[in-house]
Amino acid sequence: MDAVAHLEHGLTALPPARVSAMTYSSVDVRAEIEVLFSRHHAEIYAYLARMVREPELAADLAQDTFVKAYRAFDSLEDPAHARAWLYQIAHRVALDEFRRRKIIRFLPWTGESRGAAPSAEHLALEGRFSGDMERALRKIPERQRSALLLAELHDLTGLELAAALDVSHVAARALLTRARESLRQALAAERAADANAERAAGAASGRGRL
Amino acid sequence: VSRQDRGRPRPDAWSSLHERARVRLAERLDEPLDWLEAEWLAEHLDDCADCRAVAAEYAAQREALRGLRPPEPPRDLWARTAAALDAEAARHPSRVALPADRASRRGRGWTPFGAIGVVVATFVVAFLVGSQLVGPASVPQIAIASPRASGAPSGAALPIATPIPVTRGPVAWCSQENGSCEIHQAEIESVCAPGSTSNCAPLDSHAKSIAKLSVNPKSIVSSPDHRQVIVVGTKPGTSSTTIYVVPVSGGAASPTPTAPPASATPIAPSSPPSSIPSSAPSSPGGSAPPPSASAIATSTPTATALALLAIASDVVVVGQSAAYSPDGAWFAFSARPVSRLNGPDIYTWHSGDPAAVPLTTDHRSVFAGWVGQRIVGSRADLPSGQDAASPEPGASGAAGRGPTNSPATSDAPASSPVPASATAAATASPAGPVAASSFLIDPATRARTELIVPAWRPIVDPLGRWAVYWQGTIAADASGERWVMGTGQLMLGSWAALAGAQTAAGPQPLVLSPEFSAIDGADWDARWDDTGEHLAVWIGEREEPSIGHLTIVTIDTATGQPDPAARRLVGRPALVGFSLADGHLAWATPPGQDGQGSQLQVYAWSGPDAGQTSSQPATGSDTVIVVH
Repeated sequence: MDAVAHLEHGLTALPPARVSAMTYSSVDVRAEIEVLFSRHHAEIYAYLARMVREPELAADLAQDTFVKAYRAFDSLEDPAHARAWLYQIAHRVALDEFRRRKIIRFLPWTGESRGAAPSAEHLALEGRFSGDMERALRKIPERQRSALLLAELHDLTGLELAAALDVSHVAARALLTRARESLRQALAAERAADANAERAAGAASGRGRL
Repeated sequence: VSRQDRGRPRPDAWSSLHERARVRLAERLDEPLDWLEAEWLAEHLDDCADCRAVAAEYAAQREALRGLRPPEPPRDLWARTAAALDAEAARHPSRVALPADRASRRGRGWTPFGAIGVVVATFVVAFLVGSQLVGPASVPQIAIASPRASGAPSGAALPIATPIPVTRGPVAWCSQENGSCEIHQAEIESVCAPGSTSNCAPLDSHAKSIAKLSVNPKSIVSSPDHRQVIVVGTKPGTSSTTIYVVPVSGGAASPTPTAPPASATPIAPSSPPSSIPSSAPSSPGGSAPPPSASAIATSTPTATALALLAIASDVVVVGQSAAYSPDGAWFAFSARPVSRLNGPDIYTWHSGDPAAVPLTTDHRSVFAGWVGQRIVGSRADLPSGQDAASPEPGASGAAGRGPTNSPATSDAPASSPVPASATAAATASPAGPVAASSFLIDPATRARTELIVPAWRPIVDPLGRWAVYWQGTIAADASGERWVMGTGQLMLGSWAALAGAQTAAGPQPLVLSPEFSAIDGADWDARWDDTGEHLAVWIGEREEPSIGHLTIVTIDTATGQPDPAARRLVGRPALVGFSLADGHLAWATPPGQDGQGSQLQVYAWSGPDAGQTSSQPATGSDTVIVVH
């Protein structure tokens, strides 16, 4: 629980530089970040890519995540929690990105591409994410999506999830429950829309034949 | 109502029983409901088809979620992250510090996931297995050294995001042990997946021994054809330096050499050159007879390995900029006599000659590099009214001697009448910073051209387009043994403009990087790769001149602009002496880095991809010398 409490304490609450006369080498920290990278970069990237849905942006954010981990390395008290700690950083990086977009665009983010024309990568990712599930995921609120992805796809346990999301255990559970319901409704809506589209297409082609 | 009452009292105010059922259905996916609620839910589902449908949807939702393919990270994710980490480390060199208790805990050998609970380890395995299902189908063109299992039970294969097709090429290094040195050579056939450098098989595992020497090398330079190396080394138990030529070609590289010591008898160092540059006036007092060959021979270490040719003895080699000419016919270096009577001169050795000869005799010139078949040299420019004697490193301030026409090696202690006051002055702090200038000189004809732009040690890319150089003052360091930078900046500019072949046209020289500007009191070194696209810059520390930091700068070869975004490696701790080839950089880490002994590190890249590999660390304070 200490570790979780620590994680909840938050990275941003750390003093900007907890530097003392200690000379523990930044190279050592770097080596540890390299190890963390080798073990977790793929899942951290996957999480971010699903959150922001743009491969290039996700790569930038994954990079940010590890740089922030490097900076805040001494907030990781217990190496056993390194993974949840990384997810916590990645989650904040993703939320910061969402906040930034909202500020810049004055529009709620809908998961659409930032640019006027979607990039090739975006289209590729879109193709990969083109299922009902992916579209539905994109419709649910970001924090709910985050909770669901972390719990279902990234196998974070209750305490880890709470730590990664920066909330209490109870709040994390509640968020997850809401996320499942939101997703269920979004999925139903997607399928209904699909069915309508198919019907419309069928009607159109039927008219075409006449 | 009765059913609702059976539920555990909660503050929740359900708008309907169905809503309560939906919430419980979602909750039970994550943890079991308490038995009362579970029983209530079971009964409700029995009666409610809609809620059963919701239960089925939740189950399907979970299946669908878990069936999603994970997006794969881009291949260059490590390269860019590493560059960002390097930049971060360079910005805040002492940014990360750990409380003492953590440092000591780590000092005892903590490794992430090595001693962690089963829970996290299980997740790692789960993730790795998952990622393998979708991952490496499209990966590497070259072998990736398989990481040795360390902490994680998965050990088998870490997810590989960045395949690393590197340009193959040999690296060579020597590990010092008890005053001898064994030179190893290895092809970089594989590099480690990014981030796994600490887990990866060492270079030594496929290295071959190409020479064994009973000297303590200070630097080792390979000929362009890799058939011989030149070793600058000290004899065991002395501080006197000898320069040997060591053949290492192919089969000659016997790890158990049996050449008798007699074959290693070195040849006496140079006799005075027959032609003296006319600009160097002769000074009667400076001309001393060369030491006898026998004297040199007896003081020369026994070479155990191969027939060595000592091309210079009893000299102090200055700097690390010794190099073969591109065609391998010449070797140039900077040295001064061990007597410290004179400052440094540029020496050349022509392949096949018995000894190196001085190319300059002003005692204030150093070798900077080659441009084709010509040598770029740099010279300390003394303030007017002073001669060459006093303000240069190693020079005798009291003697007030002008340049001599004798080779530096002839100023051996035994044969040079050195006033005691002169010896004392040699170590005294010389005059303040002085300006520097550079020149081009042909080692064969000694034809000499001054560069029009004042510069110290211009190092020109192999294509002759761009040069990195120090623009500013230089000064002798506290020991009086070497030149260090005064005030100024490392610049990157057009070589043609520097040499005066081109005037206003072309881009203006620019500061190489602000991070290299505060190097007063320190030394630096730089090397280009074969393409002229990459420049490795080493900046020494003021207090510990053999240790410094190494950075790769990527240059746009058309414009000569450094590309700050394409930085691959920033500020890695490195011993003096490194090698940069097309596609890889090799350096030696200082002993004690990461709690390890000194080791060879190789950073190899191709396009945006990069990886790293290393040798086994040396023991104790022994250091690794990179053959460059």
